[in-house]
Amino acid sequence: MRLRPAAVLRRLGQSALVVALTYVLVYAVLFLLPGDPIRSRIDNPQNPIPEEQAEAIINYYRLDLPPLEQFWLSVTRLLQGDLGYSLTNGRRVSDLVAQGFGETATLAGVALLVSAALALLIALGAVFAPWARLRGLFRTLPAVALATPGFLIGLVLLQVFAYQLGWFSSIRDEGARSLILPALTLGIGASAPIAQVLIEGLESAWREPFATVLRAGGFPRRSIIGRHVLKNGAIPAVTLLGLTVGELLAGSVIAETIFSRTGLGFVTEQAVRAQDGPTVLAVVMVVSVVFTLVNLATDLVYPLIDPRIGGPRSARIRPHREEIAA
Amino acid sequence: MTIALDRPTAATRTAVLETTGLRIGYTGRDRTRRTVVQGADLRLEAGRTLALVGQSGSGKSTIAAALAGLLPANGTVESGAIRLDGVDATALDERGWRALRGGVVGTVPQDPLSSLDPLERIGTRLVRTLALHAGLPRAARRVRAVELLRAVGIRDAEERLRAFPHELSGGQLQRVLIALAIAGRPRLLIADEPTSALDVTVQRTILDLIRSLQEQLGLAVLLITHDLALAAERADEVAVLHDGRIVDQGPARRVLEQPEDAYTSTLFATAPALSPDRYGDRERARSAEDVVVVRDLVKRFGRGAPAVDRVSLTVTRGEVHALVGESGSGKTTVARAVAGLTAFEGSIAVEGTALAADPPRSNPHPRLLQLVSQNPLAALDPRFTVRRAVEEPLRVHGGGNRAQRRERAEAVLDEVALPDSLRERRPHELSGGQRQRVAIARALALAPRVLLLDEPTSALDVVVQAQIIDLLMGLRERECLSYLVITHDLSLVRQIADRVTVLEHGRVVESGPVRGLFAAPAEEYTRRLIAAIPRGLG
Amino acid sequence: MSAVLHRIRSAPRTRPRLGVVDVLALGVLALVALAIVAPGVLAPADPLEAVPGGTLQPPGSAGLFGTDYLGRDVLSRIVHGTGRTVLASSIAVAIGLGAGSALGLIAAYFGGWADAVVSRVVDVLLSIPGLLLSMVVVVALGFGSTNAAIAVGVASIAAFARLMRSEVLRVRELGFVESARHLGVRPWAVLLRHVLPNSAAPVLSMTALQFGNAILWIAALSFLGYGAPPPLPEWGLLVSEGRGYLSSSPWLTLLPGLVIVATVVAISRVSALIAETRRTRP
Repeated sequence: MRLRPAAVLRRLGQSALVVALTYVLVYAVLFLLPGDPIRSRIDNPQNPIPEEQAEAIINYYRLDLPPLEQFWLSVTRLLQGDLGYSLTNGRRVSDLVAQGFGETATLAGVALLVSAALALLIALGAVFAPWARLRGLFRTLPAVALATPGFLIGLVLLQVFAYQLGWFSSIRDEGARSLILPALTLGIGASAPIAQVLIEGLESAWREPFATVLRAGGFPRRSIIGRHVLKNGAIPAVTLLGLTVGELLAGSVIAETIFSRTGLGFVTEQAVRAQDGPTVLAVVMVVSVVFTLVNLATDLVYPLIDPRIGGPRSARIRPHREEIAA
Repeated sequence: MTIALDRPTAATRTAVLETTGLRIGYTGRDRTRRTVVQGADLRLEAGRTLALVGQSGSGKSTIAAALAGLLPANGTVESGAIRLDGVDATALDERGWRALRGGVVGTVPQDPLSSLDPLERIGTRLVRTLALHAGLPRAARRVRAVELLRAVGIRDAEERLRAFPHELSGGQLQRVLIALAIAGRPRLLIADEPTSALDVTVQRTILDLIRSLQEQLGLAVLLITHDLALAAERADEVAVLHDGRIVDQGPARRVLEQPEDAYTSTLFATAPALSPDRYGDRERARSAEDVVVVRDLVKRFGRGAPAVDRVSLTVTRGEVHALVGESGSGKTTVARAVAGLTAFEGSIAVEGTALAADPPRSNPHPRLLQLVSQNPLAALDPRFTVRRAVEEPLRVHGGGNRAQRRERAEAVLDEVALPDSLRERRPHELSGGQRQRVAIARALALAPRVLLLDEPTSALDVVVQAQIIDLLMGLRERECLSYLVITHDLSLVRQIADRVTVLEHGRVVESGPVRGLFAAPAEEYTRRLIAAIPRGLG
Repeated sequence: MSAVLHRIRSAPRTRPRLGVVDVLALGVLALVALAIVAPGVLAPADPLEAVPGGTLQPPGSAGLFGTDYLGRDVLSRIVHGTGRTVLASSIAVAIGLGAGSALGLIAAYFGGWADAVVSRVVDVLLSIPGLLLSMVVVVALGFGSTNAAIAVGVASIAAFARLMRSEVLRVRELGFVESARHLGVRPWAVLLRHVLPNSAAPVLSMTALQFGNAILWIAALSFLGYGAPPPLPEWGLLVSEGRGYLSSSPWLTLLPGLVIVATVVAISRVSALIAETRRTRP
């Protein structure tokens, strides 16, 4: 049930490598492809940045150096916690990101809970609802949700709950209340893949011989489902956690745009619109680090959930001496 | 006084299990009804064993499921009646069944490895089962759980309570499942192929355990099996099921010695364990020419003990050499090395040609030796028709022009007696036996002198098994082939092999002529393997 | 294409029994095809012609789907936007499928170093959510409908590469591939004759699924204003244009949105059909 330290270290190393390579790749796409965004941004006649600030930015990014040295410069600065300056307003990228992160993390956290709850509800309905037609209905929900663009879900929620019913304001900040609609928007979208995996997991657990053996032992259906099928069937869904968190953070771009929030998503939306390379790079790295950390945590926690994984092999009781002797 | 009157006497003993005219059917996806059990009358009294024998698809598992109320949602009892311990269980709902399960009917499942929740400790499960049935006070349940584990022969029972299912072997798990089945003191134990997923030497111990518990607890046992010899050995009465009908039923000895039904006689005639001398005239002078020579074969997977450790064996021209062992003995690894499918240490020569220790991805010697694998469905490309599959090796090795290849393919397909009408079909449109014929034809296409047969019949029903064995023995005669047969089935070895090599944990335990070895095994392990062959009527 | 179709026909399959949903799905796709080939047949009006007097008419009175803030017929705009949307998705899928399956094939076939390198690249691509990755590419390439399509294509490379790699590795371990090797069939012939045809079904099914995804992602990029510039009628853009009138004229947003949903649902149904009918038995 324990992971060996060597395995944990290896896994840590892998994660660090993925994050480092992500930086290299995104940097390369943003800055090394022809058409330098910093230069073109500053040379843009509609450039909002004042002359002397532009000068400072050019000096800061050392655009006179060859590309590889520029990259190296960015890496050394990154290691000192310096993410550079935004090309739109000249503010420090680290400030921009730090400012938006809290709000978006809260949103993503609530949305994660929403998606887990929805997925569970839908999966239970799809596998155990009493009538075949009802089960079929539940079963189609994830497919429809997957086919619905996130922005449409957001706009429909806005139209119904803010405009028609007037339950929420579309403009005013109402504190925690303002979280509800964007969290639902994100949660509904993210629940679909989880529900699909859960449905499959529950079905296959229900089909396992052990479920039949439990029935044959006289256990009531409710306890078989609640105690055995649910536990076994939910394990595969745990591996989706990292993916879901990543999608929620990325989806915040759309949710925050629709609901006029000012988190990381908004920062991203503005940065992409202005082709603000350094800010986009920072946002991508934040999301990639979160994704990698969540995946790492999932892998490390997995053996605690499933005793079959990572167990020391020696604990496996060797051949059948005992039976043979008996 | 009333108590004395109620006590059953031998003459008026009520049946624990009684079915009359039981018909069971399934509704297909297209709403069509299919009746798979057509009127079964069964009767079983306390302390007795009834074996329900049949091949796959005969309806035996359907009956087993119906007797515990576990038919799948699309299955229904169409007519007839089920009485369990005097209770009419024909039309019970789930709640009614729950009252019977565990307390009246206990079940032992087919595959112990997947029959326990992998996330629940053995002890938790036992205690919960006792809470459900035995009405013991909380404190006493744990003690009783330990007692139960001891009763089914699990050592260190106290400690084992904390084990998860994956920490136990198949045989131990089956013991735990038996403990669970008897925890509620049932009157009837339904054992559906309780040993088919276990190694041969373990099988016997599990069946012995069931018998001893039966004697202690006065259980009625319904044993479901495809294995006639086993049924004959273990049951008081036998019912033979064929296509949903009971074709023969009666005391085991009578059914075995004077079968009333043609199908039953075929079954008995073909079961290897019951007809060891079917190919009795095969003892001929062996040629001295060696065709396959394996010397000091070693195969390691990662660190730790090698999977195959210094194995040597020789197959001479025209002989059937059996390599025998249980799962994990390394016999399949030996086969893969001889077939040139895996790297090895040591030396292997076929027809005087040494095999490369690290074989290339494409076999350079397909004409020397061909492998016929255990599962023909997996071994045939699902997209290839029979003809195309058999022609493929000829095409690769320049077997003449298109017409000549077609001619050769037809010839080998004739040789394996595959009807002409099936030759444009794809594997999934064939039966198991037909597929195995195609796989054999494909192996024969390049006219190799040696066939390596890896469990050639283990996926097939008894009657089909016999047909394939007949075919193989005939081919050997006509084509003067040599066989290296990999198997766990000693009754088959006794029936067809000339010499045998016994493997245990990757090492050769014993090797020699079949007759001699069966008559006087030198090693304890071999003795156990031989003892595990069901003897029919003991 | 006909070669592919032929191979599909010769594949082992359980003949699908088309349900009502399947027929509906195929019907939706037929309409989409018609809208691409002959938009004039379905569209009642010119998609770009503004009718100053008839702005923001609700569905029914003025055209099936109503009119927008310039008085343009919404249905016509949707119909005429189909071609652009589907073309963009096709570009995206072509990039993803081409680059992805090539990478996956290289990794699986050569193994060793090639596999390690490709697998790390795939890990990296997968560690960035698709929408974000396509935004990165948009920043690098600039806005526009072709660039958005390329961006979405790049973002789907990883998924194809991973599927192709795992499919080839899976099929290569199956008994019949070993059997072919044992019969002395050369490695490349094994790959072409046995491995690739038997891994085609999941890849095909994935292609359909990704096509639906591409529509969604491109629509999302357009919605955010990174894709096709107005006044060109692109589905995501149509939803975005309607946003300003959401409280008063919700159909401007909802109807194009529902068309997207219906199309993607239909595509995913077809993808599932492909997967069901052409599953390689293990």
